[in-house]
Amino acid sequence: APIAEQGLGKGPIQISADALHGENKPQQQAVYTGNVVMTQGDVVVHADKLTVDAIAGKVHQATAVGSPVTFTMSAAQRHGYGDTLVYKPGKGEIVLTGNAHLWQKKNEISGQQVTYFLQTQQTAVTAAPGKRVQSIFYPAAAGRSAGGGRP
Amino acid sequence: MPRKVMPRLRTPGLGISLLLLVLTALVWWSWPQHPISLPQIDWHGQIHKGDQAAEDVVMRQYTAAGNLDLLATAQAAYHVPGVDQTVLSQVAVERFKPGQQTHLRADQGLVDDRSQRITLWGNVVGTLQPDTRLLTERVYYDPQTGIITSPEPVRLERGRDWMTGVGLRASVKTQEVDILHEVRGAYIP
Repeated sequence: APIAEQGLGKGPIQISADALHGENKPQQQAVYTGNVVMTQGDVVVHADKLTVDAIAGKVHQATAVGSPVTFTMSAAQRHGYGDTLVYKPGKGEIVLTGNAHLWQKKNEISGQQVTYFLQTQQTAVTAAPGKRVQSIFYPAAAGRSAGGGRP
Repeated sequence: MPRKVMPRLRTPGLGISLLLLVLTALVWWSWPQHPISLPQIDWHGQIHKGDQAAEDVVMRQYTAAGNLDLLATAQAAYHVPGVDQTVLSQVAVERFKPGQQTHLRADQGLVDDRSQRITLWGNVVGTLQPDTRLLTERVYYDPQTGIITSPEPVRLERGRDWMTGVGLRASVKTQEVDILHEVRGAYIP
């Protein structure tokens, strides 16, 4: 089924960590620290620290920081890493920032910020000032269609 | 030379063994399954525990301005003079102070009359502002600071979301919660 129907950006968000600090004032925020693993459907994020901002009890944004933060989406055969990962379930976006790399199978793109749109499977890459975006694509072997989603 | 006769150790007879078995079974069967309910007071002048005891207890604490601040109810209570503590059973504690509303209930409780600290254990269920439910086996609540702590496994629920872990520190005043170890959580949309 197309990625979108596989519930990416939907369904329960499961989190495990060493410790948690939660606050209600001034806003609802939970900070998970230590061996943090966040899972939602097919998306799995590993980080050192995860901050979940909720609005009226609904997760608005999850910000992961790590050395680096890594994420995988096995169904879409994508994985990536970066210094910071911001996950917006409502918008269906994963934003990698700082030495950001994203693979789709063997094909790789990298830059200062990589944004992956879960619903459309599109990716936007921006480079740091004075630098350039890098992409590496492996042509499909003769006789086999390229296959896979568009980067 | 006469042979020295060693006293022969005779195994206890079958009867005695059976008798011992029956006695063991009787003791095990009659052992109370849950703590003996408190306090069985004999009003013929013989108070089993503490210097005062009562049932269907209501304890109220007011602010300087005369507003009800803390209400504790219990099915039974008795006061232990030596350590100046009040032991409660089937206890509920409710705090009404604006911004610090709390509700805790448990099978057993203990109020330290000097520090006013409250210990609750046994099926502890609590409500923390704004809408978080706390489930654990033991908590320590300090009404002065509004801090609730627990060394036990805890579960927090808010709507369908939940979090579990081991060890808790919650501030009722600032509405902050820390789960100290082994955190698991789920946000259910």
